[in-house]
Amino acid sequence: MSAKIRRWAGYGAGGALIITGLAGLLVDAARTHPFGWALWFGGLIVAHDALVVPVVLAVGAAFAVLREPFRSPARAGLVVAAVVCLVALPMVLGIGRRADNPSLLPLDYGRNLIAVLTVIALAAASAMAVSHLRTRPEARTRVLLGAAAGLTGGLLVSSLMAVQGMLDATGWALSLVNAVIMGAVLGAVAGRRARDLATAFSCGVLVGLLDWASWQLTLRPLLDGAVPTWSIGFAGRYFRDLVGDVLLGGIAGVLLYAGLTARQAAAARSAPAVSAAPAAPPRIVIIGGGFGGVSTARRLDRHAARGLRAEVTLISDTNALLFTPMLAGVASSSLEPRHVSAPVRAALSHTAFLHGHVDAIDTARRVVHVATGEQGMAAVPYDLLVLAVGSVPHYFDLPGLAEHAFALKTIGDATRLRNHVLGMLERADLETGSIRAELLTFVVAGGGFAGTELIAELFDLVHGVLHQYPNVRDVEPRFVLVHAGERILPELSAELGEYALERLRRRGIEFRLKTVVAESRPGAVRLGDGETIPTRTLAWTAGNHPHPLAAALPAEHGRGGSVVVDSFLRVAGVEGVWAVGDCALIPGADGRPYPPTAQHALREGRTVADNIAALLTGRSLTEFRFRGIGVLVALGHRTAVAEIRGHRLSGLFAWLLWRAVYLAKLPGGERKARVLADWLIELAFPRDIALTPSPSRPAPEPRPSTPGAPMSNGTTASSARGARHE
Amino acid sequence: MVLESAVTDAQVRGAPGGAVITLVQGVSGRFTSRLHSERVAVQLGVWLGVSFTVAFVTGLISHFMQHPPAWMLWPSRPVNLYRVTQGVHVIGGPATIPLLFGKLWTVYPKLWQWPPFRWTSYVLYGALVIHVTNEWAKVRRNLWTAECVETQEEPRSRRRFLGTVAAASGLTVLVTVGETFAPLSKLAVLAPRAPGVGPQGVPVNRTAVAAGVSQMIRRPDFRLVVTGAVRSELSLTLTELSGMPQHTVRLPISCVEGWSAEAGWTGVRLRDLAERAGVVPDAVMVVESLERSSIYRSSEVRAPHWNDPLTFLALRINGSVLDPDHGYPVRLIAPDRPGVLQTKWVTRVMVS
Repeated sequence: MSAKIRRWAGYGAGGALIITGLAGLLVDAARTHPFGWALWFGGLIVAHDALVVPVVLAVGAAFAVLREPFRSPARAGLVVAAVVCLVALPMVLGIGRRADNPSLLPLDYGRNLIAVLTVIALAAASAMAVSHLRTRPEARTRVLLGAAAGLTGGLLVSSLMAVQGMLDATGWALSLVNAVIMGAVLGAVAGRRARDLATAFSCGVLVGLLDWASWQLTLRPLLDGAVPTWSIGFAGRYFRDLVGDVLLGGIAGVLLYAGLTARQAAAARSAPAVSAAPAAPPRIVIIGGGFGGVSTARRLDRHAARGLRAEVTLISDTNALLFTPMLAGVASSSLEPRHVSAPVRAALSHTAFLHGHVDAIDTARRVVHVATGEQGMAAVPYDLLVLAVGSVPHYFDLPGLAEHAFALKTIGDATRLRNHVLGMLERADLETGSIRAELLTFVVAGGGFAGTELIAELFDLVHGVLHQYPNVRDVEPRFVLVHAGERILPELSAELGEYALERLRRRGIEFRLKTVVAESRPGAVRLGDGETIPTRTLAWTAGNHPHPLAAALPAEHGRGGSVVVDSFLRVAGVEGVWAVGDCALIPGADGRPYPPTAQHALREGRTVADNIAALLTGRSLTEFRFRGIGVLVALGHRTAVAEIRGHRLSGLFAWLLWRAVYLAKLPGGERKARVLADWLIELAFPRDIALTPSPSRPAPEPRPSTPGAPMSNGTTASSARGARHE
Repeated sequence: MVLESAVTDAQVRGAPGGAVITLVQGVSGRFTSRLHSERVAVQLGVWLGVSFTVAFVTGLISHFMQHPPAWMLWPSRPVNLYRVTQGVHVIGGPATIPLLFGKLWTVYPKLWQWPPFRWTSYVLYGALVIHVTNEWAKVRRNLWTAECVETQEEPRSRRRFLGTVAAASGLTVLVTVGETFAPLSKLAVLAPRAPGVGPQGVPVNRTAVAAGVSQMIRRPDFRLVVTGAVRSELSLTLTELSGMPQHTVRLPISCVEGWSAEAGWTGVRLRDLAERAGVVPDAVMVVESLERSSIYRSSEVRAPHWNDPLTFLALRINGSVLDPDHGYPVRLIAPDRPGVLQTKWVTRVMVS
């Protein structure tokens, strides 16, 4: 009998059954109301597709917020609960109840359904607790010890009550189950805090009291169908149970403490002296007061508040965290310099702050040499070091750049650039002839986020104040963006990059793509293809490389001198050193390193702090995994482009979003208020053209002087992207 | 995001329908769980097939027990046969719902791919047979020949998925089955009937008030008449019935709704009454009720049943006189018999 014959026999049988059914439906039409049947059938399908599926999809999406060990039990519990609700719904609604037949739907189905759902919820919660404990051996031991202590205490108390004739067989079973659950809760909650007998005992008493309150006063009345009243009169009836529960809790607490101490003693005996915990708390030093460093320190503060024993110090040569995304606004006179820096000390609670410049790191002796203080030098010893020194502008040893180009890395850079541009406008107003064109030409090197935003902001600045300089009205200011790659804003999708280019080009900004800057002279900039642009202003955002401190570390280095770390953010090959931010090369899930942005540095700081805390308390480390949320680029003229989780936005709405997002990210309520005020004032008044005293050009960052440490030269060309903080 | 790409594609293609197609394909691509696999679908499909077949077969049994064709003679033993088949039929219904939803969820993405009551059960089952025939090759491939290589993650998540579905079915059964399966009656918190709740501790389907007999049963001129192809007609009062030899038996009432309850019935054997009236061994009796307007106002009792010593015309339940809702003054009670055929308020037995 071939498969084909079998198949056709099946079709035939099925078809026959269907025809029988349909025929019967029609023949008995009077009784079966085929139209009503079809309506009901069709309605079921429509209800499924129109109601059930969207609800299921929505709930499923909502569940994405739960992490994996918790997601499956929660989802399973919800599925089971949904099915039970569906089945019970007609009965809860009382459909079909008749006055003359009390035996139909006689039960309180609402209450019963709630009871069944509670059971499902408890089962799911227990499954989640179990899978959580499975990954945390420490917590599991505590819970089990607590349960054992509870059981022992329960046996004692129950036998006491049985001797006085207060318990029967079911009473025994219930009270033992109650004791075990209470003990487990006690272990989970108090296991870490029970450092001495008194604390353990009081925790036990408290948990016993809570147990009594939640069971006798709340759950039991609910199950009996009454509303719980937490009145003294009601409670007085269950006084005996209160005594029993409190006694049980106290005994369990004492037993738990005994168990924990015994375990600790056993562990100490079996692991003699090899790595005794230091009597003094471990010293953690963070170098760098940028996004990475400050977020590490803040996260360690949080751990310290929860009991982590550690001495944390943050060393930085500036005492404020610079909010780099708003630097272009400072350079274009739209924001005040001090409003975009948040003092570090205000953000730290437990961490100590040291204002100084780190000269060298001695990884062998675990000492950081800082240039500060009366003696001029201080040696800060450490047990664990976090390197968050970030990146510095890199001029590729091109002639003239270090002397003439304006970087945009610090507040000083931005202020200098602003004063220079305004100074150029003043000079141009004095002069006549073609020199004015040279004075009013502004070249920006680097077409990443920093360069694009800067040129757009400078354009807005110059064109916004040009009317105040009467002698330059006939000269058109010129803005040129030089970019080595094929298109600007390479992190964005091609479409958005093209759009941005077009918007800027339409305003009159010139672009030199696939070109590099070759030389900078006092009055001109020479490009790689030979073109010379007469200008007095060259802003440089086309290259950053990691701070020389990172390059000097005796570890493996990546492109440009960044320190190679593993996915836990530990530096390989050097004991006790971690690295985050622009100065580190962190492997991503797909093998490509994470880009150097502020978004990433912030989260890397949190992860490294969590990992250090885990290391110090014997827990497992977590890998750093982050999928960027999106990118926003402001293009001046109240427009911006944004790409958030795949959604592309542009125009005024994107610009408002840019302002809203960065205002929200700015640390400190006071700073937010000031920046908001600056922006609001900008709506009504033109930009400020007052020149302010310019900080002098800083000397290039000296190579660190570590005796014997190998110097590494980051001579390979960094990417043209530039380390733009997003 | 899906709309975005759909619009983009439509703009690129220039076809309005293209946007819809792209949208649909985009939706299908969003279902990324590996549980949308053939293997899971097949396993659920097998359970569903079993469940539907059981429901169909037990449903047919129930139908033919209530309306037997002339040639069909149902046996009167085992006593609990109808109780079991109907219990399985009704309780199995809610238990199938999670299976159905699980199966729909598993195959849902495929539904988006382009170039898509008594007679109702025939249609459904016929459709199922055709569907199974179609998918048979997949069943063989996935269950009997382990052809596909799986990663480590798949079996675990598959087992979790199937386990969840099984748990849902199991819990639904657990909270309803007690209405027919006595040992689990304490757990039946979501069953439409609770065993032991009702007049005289037994639930009721059709009350005296609903049947419209509350006045008639109290009339002093009530007679139980045995007539038809009998040697001598009988017309008995309640007192005379009580005077005949009484026997007691424990039998369940198995309602077509899916619940059942056992009770101790005391009364007159139908066989004794037949002997008294003089009836041939293969006669068919029609027991008629005082109720006027119901398709179940009378029921046929065929030879296997009325010859069974356990078939009674009962006068008392659990020692006390029948409640009107339970059929006062006389009701029929027999083993292996659907509840609707256990005629209440019996007034006439017609022999043919």
